[in-house]
Amino acid sequence: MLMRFLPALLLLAASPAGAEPRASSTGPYAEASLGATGFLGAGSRHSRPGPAFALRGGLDVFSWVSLGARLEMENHAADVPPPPEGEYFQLYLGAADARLGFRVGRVAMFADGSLGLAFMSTNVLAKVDLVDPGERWSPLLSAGGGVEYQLQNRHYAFGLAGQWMVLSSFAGMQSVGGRAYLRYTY
Amino acid sequence: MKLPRHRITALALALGACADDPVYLEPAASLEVMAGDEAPATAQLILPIRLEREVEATDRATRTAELGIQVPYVTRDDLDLSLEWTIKNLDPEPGTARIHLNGANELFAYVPGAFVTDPEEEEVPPPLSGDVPLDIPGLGERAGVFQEDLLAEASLDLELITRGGESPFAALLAIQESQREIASGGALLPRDAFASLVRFDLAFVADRHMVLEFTVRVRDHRDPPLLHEELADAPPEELTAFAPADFAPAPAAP
Repeated sequence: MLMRFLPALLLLAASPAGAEPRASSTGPYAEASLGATGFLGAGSRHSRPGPAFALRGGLDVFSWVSLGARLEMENHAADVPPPPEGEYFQLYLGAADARLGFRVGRVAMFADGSLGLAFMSTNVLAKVDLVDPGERWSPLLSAGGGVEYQLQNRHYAFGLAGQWMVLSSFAGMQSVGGRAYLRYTY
Repeated sequence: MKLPRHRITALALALGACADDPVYLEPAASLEVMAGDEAPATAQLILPIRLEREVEATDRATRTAELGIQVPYVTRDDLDLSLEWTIKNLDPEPGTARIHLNGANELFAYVPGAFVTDPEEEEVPPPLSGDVPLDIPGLGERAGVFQEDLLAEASLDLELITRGGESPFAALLAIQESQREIASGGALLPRDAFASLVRFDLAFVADRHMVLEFTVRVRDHRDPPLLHEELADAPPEELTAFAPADFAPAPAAP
C-alpha cells in the first residue's frame, strides 16, 4: 500500500504548489492508525499476517522531534501443527515512541523508534517453542519510518508508515508492518 | 520474561485484553498404538493448579460448613475446558480408532472398570466422554474436539456418579446440563459448587498403527487465575497436589 501511494505523495511534494510551505501545528498530538503486520522467519511459519490497530499520543518537542507513547493491538491466526487448529492470538503492545523528521512543503518524512512491552494473549505458540509454556510478556524494540501529508487544516495530517519490530523474549520473533494513519496536532 | 499474574491481568485489562484468554496444555507425549495391540495407549494430563490462597481456603471452609458438603477448590464455573485431538493413521490400510476420555476432579477419579465386579456378567460402563468409532483413512488423519459443553457435562456426570450416587449408565447416557443441584448424603450441592475436572485420563485404541496427539485448552475465569502462571514449568511445590480417590461404588446389599 505504501508503494502504491508513495509516488503520488512525492509528486505532490515536488510540485510547485507542494513546495510552498503549508502551516502545520506543533505541540501535543494524537494519532490513530490501521494497518497489517506479518512475522518474519520462524514466526512467519507459525502465524499469519493480521490486522493491527494503534493509538499514539505525545508531544512535538520541536518541529523535528516528537516524544510519545503508543498502544497497539494485533490479531494473528496461529499456524501450529494440530492440535490445536484454527486458533488466534492477539498481541497487545505498549511502548514509548521517539520520532525524528523534516518537512518539505506539504510532505514530511520521518524515522521513528520505540521501546516497550508486548503481551501475547495465549501460549498457543508454545507448541512450536516460540514462547515458553507460561511466557506472555516480552520487551519490544521497533524502528520504522514513513511519509506524512499535511492537510490544509494545520491540525490534521495523514500518513503512511512502515515498521520493523523484534520481541526478544518470544524467541526473538521479528515482524514488519505497514499502517495508514490520521494525526491530529493541537 | 515473567511477571506476577495479577500484574499481568491488570496490565492486560488496561490494554483491552480478555482475562480469560485460552491457555493450551500439552501432554508429555503422544499416544501410539500398533496394529494388533489389545491394550490401549494411555496418557494422563493434570492441570497445573496453583496453591490455594488463605482467603480462598477460608471462604471455602465457611461455605462447606454452611452447605454441609465439601465445596471444591476448583469448581466447574472456574474453568472452561476443551480437548482438541488429531489422529494420524500410519498404516496404508484404513482403520478405526476410539478415544476414551476419563478423568478426575479433586475428590474422585472415574475408572469404569471399578464398577465391574463380575466381568462375565456385567458390562463395563461407558467413559465420561468419547468411545465413538472414528474411521481414519489409510495414511490419513482426522481431527476433532471434545468441546467445552461436553467437558462441562463430563464434570457434572462425575459429580453425579460419585457424590450423587447415580449409576454411571444413568448419568452418562443422559444430558444433565439443566441439573441445578445434586443431593448427596442429606445435603444439597448447588450448581456453583460442582467440581471441575482437574485431570484427564485418555485411552486410545485402534486397529491399525495410529498416533493420537491432543491439547487441552483452558479458559480460566478465576481471579487470580487458577492455572499457575508457569504452567508445565511451574515448580511442583507451587502446585496443588490433588489426590483423588478412584471411585468405587458401595457393594450392593445382600
